[in-house]
Amino acid sequence: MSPTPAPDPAGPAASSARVEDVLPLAPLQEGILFHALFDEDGHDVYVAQLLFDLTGPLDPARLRAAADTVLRRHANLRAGFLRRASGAPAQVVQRDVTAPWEERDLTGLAGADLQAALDTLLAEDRARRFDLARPPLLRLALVRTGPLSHRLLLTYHHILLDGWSWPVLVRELLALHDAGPGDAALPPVTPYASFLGWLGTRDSDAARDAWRGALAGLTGGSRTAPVSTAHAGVLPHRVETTLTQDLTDRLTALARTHRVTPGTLLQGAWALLLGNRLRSDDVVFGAIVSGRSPDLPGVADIVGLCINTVPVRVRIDPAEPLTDLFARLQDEQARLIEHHHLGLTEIQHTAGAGELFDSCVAYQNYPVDADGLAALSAGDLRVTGVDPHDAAHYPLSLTAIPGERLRLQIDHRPDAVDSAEAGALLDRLVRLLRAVADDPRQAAGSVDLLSPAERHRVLVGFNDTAREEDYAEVADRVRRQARQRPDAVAVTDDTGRSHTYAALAARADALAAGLRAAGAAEGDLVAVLSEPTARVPVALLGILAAGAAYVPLDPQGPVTRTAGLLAAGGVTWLLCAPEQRDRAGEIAAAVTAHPVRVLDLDTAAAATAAPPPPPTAGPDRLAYVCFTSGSTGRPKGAMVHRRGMNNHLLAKLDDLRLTPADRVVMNAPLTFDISVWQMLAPLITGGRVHLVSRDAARDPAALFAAAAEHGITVLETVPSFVRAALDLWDSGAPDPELPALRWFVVNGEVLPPDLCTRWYARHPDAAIVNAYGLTECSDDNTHAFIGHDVDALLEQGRLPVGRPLRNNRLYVLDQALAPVPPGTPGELFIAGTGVGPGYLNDPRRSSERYVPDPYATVPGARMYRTGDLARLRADGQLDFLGRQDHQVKIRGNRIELGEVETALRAVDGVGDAVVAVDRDGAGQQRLLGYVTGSATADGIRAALSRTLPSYMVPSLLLHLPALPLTTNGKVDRKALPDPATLARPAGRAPATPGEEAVCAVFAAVLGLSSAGPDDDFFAHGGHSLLATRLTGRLRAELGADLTIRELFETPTPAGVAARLASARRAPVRPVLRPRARDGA
Amino acid sequence: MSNPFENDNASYLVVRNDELQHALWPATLPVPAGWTTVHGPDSRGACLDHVEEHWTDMRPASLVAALDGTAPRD
Repeated sequence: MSPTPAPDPAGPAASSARVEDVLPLAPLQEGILFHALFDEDGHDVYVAQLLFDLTGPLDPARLRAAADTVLRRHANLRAGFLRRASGAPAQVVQRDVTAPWEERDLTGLAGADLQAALDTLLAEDRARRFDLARPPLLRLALVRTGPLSHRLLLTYHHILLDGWSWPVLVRELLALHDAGPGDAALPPVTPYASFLGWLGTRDSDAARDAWRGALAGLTGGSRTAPVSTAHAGVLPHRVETTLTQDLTDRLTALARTHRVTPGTLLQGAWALLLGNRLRSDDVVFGAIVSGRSPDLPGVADIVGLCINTVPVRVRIDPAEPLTDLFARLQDEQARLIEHHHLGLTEIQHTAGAGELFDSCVAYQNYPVDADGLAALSAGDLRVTGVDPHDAAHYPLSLTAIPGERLRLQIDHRPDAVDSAEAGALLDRLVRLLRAVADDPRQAAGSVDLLSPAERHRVLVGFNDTAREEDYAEVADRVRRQARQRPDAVAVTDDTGRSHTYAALAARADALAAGLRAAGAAEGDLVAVLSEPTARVPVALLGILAAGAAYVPLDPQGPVTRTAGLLAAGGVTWLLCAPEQRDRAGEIAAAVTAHPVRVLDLDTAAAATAAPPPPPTAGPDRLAYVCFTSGSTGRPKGAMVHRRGMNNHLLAKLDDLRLTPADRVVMNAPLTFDISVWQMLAPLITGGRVHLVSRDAARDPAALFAAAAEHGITVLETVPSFVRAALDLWDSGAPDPELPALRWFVVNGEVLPPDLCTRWYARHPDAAIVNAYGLTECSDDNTHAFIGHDVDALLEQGRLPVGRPLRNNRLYVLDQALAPVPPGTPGELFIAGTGVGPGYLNDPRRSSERYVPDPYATVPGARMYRTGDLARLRADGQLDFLGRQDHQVKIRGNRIELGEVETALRAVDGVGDAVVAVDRDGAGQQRLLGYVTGSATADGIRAALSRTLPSYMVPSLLLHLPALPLTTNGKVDRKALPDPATLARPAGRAPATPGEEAVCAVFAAVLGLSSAGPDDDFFAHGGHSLLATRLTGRLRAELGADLTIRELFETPTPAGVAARLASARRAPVRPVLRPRARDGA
Repeated sequence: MSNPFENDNASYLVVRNDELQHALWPATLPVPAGWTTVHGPDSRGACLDHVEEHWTDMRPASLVAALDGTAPRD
């Protein structure tokens, strides 16, 4: 194999005659080459600079000659990076390469002026990329600042040198300057080639085994930034701090006492920070290792890139004392030292867990202190300072620079981590190191990362919501409205029925009396079976007035499931609409656990019994019970007390500033707790509620037509419904005028920002409120007001869900139930008035979700564990991040996948089942049921419709011979096949000669027998380094000029062929693409 | 990350407040004010069994007292 030489239009041809040697690349060189080529237009983060202070007599000509001699001595400094015809990279060493040299005179400038001039010089220089094909990948600039003072700027591509190299290089430069031409005075060079040769003799199999063992069981990488963040051409920003000498000394002493290195302390601390940030007890980050094995003679004198980046995997046991964690970490790492030579790509491939990390830690133990610098020179010209500027492509890089006071730097890519966040991270790191020094035996999980101010902010400031409330009974408030406005219309529905306030109050009281006369006691549970009509508010108010609790049922739900709810909940009363009489009878008959008395709603509400005595037991009595999906296959009945319901109603009244002029539409299914406020908030205000039919509630055209017709002022729905409505209007369907609509409340799902923009474009006067809440905690717990400037509200691309409602307290906690720092994800806990009493007749599940509130001011208070992930945003609002478990929401319905799976397994002919969620072509979530066994999809669907509500029946049922299992025998959800691939017939054949040619290159690079035009490169074993090879092969064989970025954008042969066809005129070029660029 | 309430290998307590409400609590954490340990440390399953056996009336004790005092059930 020989490299194809590069033509060089700018100078003498780099002909074979000039090629001195061809070397392979060290693994990290390959990695850097990939990143340098990823985007050839922006900044190259791997352009590094060293700015030296030189003091003493200096002869520029001699220094320049010294630089040329250094290049002559070290062949690898004369290398350019090319691709062989195979696509594999090579470093080609050329003869007769001299160091680009520049001189500046800044004599006369001092202080800030000098610094500004130097900063400009550095910035301009840094922006000048190297063409990796054209050596040398370094340049020098000498800046004269006075007769005996100079700055020397050495700019190099990181692919050439590591931090351990430059002291060698500078020592040689100064020695040659002092001694004059010729390097007789210098010891012989240990060539970089000897390091590369030594690499080739390492036992790769043993190294692979070692890394496989070290990374075994890791479920995935530790990512601190979203995958989608573009990473090319962005120079990192830096935050830094210096520890006090006292803390530095104490950490040094601690490390010595426990026989760990300061680097291990730092790695352990970073692991804890990452674990906190990522909510993980098994984290990985990169570490820069020197790679200079003492086995290799003269290794310390090598000038070249010997370092490597290797993963550090740290398992965190929150109960383990810090010193034990450090000792364990050091021990685990020590066993890997002899395997540091293996390339990261290979290590990641061996681990099989994908990209392992995106943050890295370096402990710089090469000499930058005064003693180290002094040792670089034997003559009068001395190095008196050094200022390194280098970077990496990672979103977060931590560097520690030892000294009397330890210096800590965090480089952060500003597109991924902003400087406030990086600064907070650095503060936390220092707090953590102080905690380590103060109490090294404390448990890893007990280290407090928050500053007192942060703690106060997240626990107290955020939750400053206490309000004295008069929790008057809802029935009393409605009666009061009836006295004030007896003839005002209180309730209307789609069937044309309506009630005035006088009629509503009278009917509700009559129902209450009827219930009591029939024997219903305070605290009894009364189920209601009715379509959403004007009867329902009567039923709800009557039940509450009777001192009982309202239990809404699905009027179309399967009889067996409904009967199951009544039986499990001990519900003994069933109020039904006249047309539901038969169904109610079936349900009652199906409950065998206890008798269920069925009452006709109209009959009961027309009773003339004496009004019941006002209930007495106070706000702890139940108001209603809503059943939600349960993971074990059994629905849970969330109990809500009157205190919680009233508090939520008052919050709605206040936040939406409801008045008697408001008209609220009741479109939520009755089994949703949302329906409760939709009915009651207007009724306690003197406004009006309009109930729409279930059909209208599901149909955007019908619902918004009803809203227009009835002058609705407040409408609440779920985002997927909003999207359907907007899509409908965009397709040309009439968009009704909604002049009365004041509030457009959305909840139940994540609110995509584009929906808000599209909504406001059509209905600018209907303000969006994004609400978040839990049925268990009395419906909504936060409100966020989304203004017209939607983009201004985005953080990490998401809209807020808002701040806690009155008398609610929200905590974002870690696994030790300690508050996480602002901005950090944690589990959301809800405390305060909204927290309900528990799950009906289910002490077991209640006791694990409704738990003690450690931050309550009232002893014995409880908080609800939501299972939701959230973080506190910089603007002080809450950011909802998703579920931690298998609960999903389909069109606002809470669904436990476990309940669907249990129902699937119960179907005759189904062996095993697992349920997953994906998005359909329109971007909506849908349920996928994977089943084994002999049952047909139609049969399963029919069986499920008898046991599950329709929204819980999977959209697609897919038959598998067996469920994929993980190594420890659990269902491997990640390995479930994509329905697209299951349904897809064999791939199409290439359509054009161009596609065929690209398919062949794909297949060759991927090592496949063939590749189809629609095969995704990265889904068929392609990775970043192979991508470099692919683009090389495409250039060599097809003359195609494709950047790696373009490949990421169109990763299929068809996509690549289409790009090539559109750029047909690109000339056939040799393997190396020369760049006509000045200066490099 | 193992959830503090859902680690089958961890040890738990059953705690109870003055309203006789029962709850699971990680044995490694201090018990918050107003709560008394009534069972454990024990396995998660054993703690939940204890809850199921002993928390038979889920109504808060003060509510039970109010209801029993003023509106006796049939």
